[in-house]
Amino acid sequence: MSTLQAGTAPAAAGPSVPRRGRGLLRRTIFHNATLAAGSLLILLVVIIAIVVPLVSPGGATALHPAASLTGPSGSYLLGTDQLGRDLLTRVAAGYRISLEVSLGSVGLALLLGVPLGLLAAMGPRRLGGMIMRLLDVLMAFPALLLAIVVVAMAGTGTGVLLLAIGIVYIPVVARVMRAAALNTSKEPFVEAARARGATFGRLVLRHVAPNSLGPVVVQASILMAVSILLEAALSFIGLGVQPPTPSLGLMLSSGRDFMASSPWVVADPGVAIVIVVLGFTLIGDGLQDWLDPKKRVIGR
Amino acid sequence: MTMLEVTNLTVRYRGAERLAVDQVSFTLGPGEVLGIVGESGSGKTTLAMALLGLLPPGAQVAGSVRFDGQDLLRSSEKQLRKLRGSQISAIMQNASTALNPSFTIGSQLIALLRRHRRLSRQQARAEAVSWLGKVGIPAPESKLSFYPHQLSGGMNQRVVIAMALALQPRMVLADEPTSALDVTVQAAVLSLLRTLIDDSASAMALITHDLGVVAQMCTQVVVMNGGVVVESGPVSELFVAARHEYTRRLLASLPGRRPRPSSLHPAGGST
Repeated sequence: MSTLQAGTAPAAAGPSVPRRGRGLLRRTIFHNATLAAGSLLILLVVIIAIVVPLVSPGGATALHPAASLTGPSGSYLLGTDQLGRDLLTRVAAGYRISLEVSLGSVGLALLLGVPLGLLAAMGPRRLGGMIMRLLDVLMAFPALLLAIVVVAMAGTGTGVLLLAIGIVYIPVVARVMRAAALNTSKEPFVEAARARGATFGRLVLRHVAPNSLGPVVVQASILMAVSILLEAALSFIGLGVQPPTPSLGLMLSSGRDFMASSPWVVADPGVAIVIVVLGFTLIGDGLQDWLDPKKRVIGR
Repeated sequence: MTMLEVTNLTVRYRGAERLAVDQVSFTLGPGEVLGIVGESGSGKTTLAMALLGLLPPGAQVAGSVRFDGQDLLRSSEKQLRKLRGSQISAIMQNASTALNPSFTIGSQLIALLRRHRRLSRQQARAEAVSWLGKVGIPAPESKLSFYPHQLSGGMNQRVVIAMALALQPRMVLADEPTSALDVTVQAAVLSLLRTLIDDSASAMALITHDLGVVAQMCTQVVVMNGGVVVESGPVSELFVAARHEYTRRLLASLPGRRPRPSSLHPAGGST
């Protein structure tokens, strides 16, 4: 109740500037636990990815043969693998790769998918149909299979991985963008802008696009989670990051043989994947609630 | 002298049996306010869209709409774009959805002014503030940074009116400008609109289903029913002696004109 009053007070006070900034952040965290929890998990992941490699002696590929397959302890917080490499350092380095690949691939998908979706919704009907049919073909392939094809053609490596996953998600982003833009283009304010003599480009860029990005942002957050899984899967089957570069999927795959005697070797990267995927999924869910006016507790 | 001359305007939507607008003709001169009256579905809004050249792609149009001698129905999109906003502007039905929710009202108004006229940012800003003041928004300077959802429906409608008049168009098309407002705000907005129109000597076409609004605002009136103009003429004559049966029934359905507590009189037009 008190927050409700806090939200309406500035309007009643008249000429004061609408409240934004810290107030918004605070309200969001209190009223959207999902978004807050997801953000905390991702913050944790980012801190691990940045800080641990800085303080770890020797780095992710340093071998300590004498200490191979030791369990979690004071000197090795998450234990070591079969070559005596510190698993915490390797998880942190793996996070770096995961975040690089997922940010890059989702960024690529947004960069191409958003304009394509806008064009399909707002451009000439025939062009729109053509774009969507092409994307349908792309979408008909299972994501993993499509990524494997790209890797098979272009070879392995982080850059190729990023490209492969990005291409897979272009149609997903484009479809969401198209649907949102089609909805927005029927809004009265778009017609009002036309009645004021707005050009086509202006209609699309200033009136339709900014009011259609909400669902795309939600989708992008979910895609971050899925692309981390896809990267792990590709690395697991040997088509992603190549050893000795650490990657969560690669750690899972090379640790399989020691799973029975030293479970932490696979538990560490496994739990690490769960944390980051859960984080991005929660952020996506939270954003969806936050952007949905019907669920917004105090929107205005 | 006429500014707008509509002759035998006919509109049919794709796949529709009936004509949405059937052989409509009227003229509008500077300083005149024309009321276009009729119930829902009588073709009022279609008529307005046709005047702006904003009919959906499937609509078939015949007849002519001359604005200063230029036939709007045969003009290119580019020619129409030059007219829209600066020569002919429109006030849409529902103000709260007629403003872009992603931008502040100040940025929308300033962008409009700068797009059509050569103004610096400061000049456009000053002009925007003065227009918000003219349409009766208190503390206009501070309202520039408000988003549409932070303002009430009545305030938004004033912003929409400011945007429609800011470029000093020669003709304003108002499609039910007050139907989304409550009665007290309605009266204030209407008298404001009337004052602004009188000051600028532009013409206005006011689309409404409310004969009370017509009596308050208009000099001329066109009554539509089922896409056809059933009666037209000066407002004074229409209210004194309506010739057409449909107009008489519209008048009789007004509350409070002739108190008859025993019966209601729906106009019963063919729509």
